Amino acid sequence: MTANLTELGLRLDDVIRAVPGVTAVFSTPTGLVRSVRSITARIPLALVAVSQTTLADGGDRLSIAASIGVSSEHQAPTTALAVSNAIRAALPPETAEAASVQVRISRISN
Amino acid sequence: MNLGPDSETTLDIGGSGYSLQQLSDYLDAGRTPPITAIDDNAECQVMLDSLERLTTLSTELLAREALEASDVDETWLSSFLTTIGREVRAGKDIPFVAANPHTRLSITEGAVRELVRAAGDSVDGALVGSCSLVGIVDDSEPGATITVNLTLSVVLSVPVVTLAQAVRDRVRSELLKHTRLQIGAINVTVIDVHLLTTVTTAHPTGGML
Repeated sequence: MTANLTELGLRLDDVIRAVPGVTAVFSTPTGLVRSVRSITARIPLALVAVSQTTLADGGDRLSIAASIGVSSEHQAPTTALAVSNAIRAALPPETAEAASVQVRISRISN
Repeated sequence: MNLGPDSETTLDIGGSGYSLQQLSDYLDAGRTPPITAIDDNAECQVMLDSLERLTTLSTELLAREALEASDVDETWLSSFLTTIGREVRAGKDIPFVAANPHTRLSITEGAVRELVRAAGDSVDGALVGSCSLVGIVDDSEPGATITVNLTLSVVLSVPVVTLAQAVRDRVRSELLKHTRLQIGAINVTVIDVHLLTTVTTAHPTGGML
């Protein structure tokens, strides 16, 4: 499952980078810990954080957290919304609707 | 840019493991070889943006001051860097409205401060010192009203009041474009004034050029 989540994270990195107005994808706050793990285990590192939690009803929920840089050419709220829509569209259909998606703009560049 | 080894310049930026001094060295080296821990770190990138802008503006200012033999010194530059180093931290999240209850969209306080700083610096003759946003609380409602407090260092090529108003207008415009905050007062305090004087050279015939 972890491998699947890592794979999904790597795919979402690319999906987000392709959204107009996105200039960068940054590591999420857990990035440093993940970097150390990535270096020691030599595994590819996704910048987008993907996790899965089991709900009280026994179902699973995906949680996606992305930290991005955006261009000042586009309105930041519009770019954030486009990114969240692109993430949801890239998720497996059975998980997309209930998934928790968090998009955080960390930089606006000229 | 050579920075002194004080406590601010040795602090870790954004949990990257790199200090302000090391970021400055990285910038001086043309960001090569690439360092992933810096390139993938939002706070480091915001800091590098600020350092780059400060280098350009201060070099111009220092060149002018050198002509005039006055004393813009490293202390002046260090105080700017110390302030910027403190203000690039991500800080609180400022939410945008999202229609989907499972979606959370936000911009960091650090990104907004950098937006304000870049807007102020883009006005000719202005260099933003400190920038504070008053009225932002964690998980504040979208549309919360904030007050912006700025300090400026200016090169006096136009009246201070005109320059301060230009900064206010530019900052307000950028905040309205990229946030959903209600912008209250934008208070500008000018803390340094650098005078521009015309360098004159004695002409052999006795006139002045």
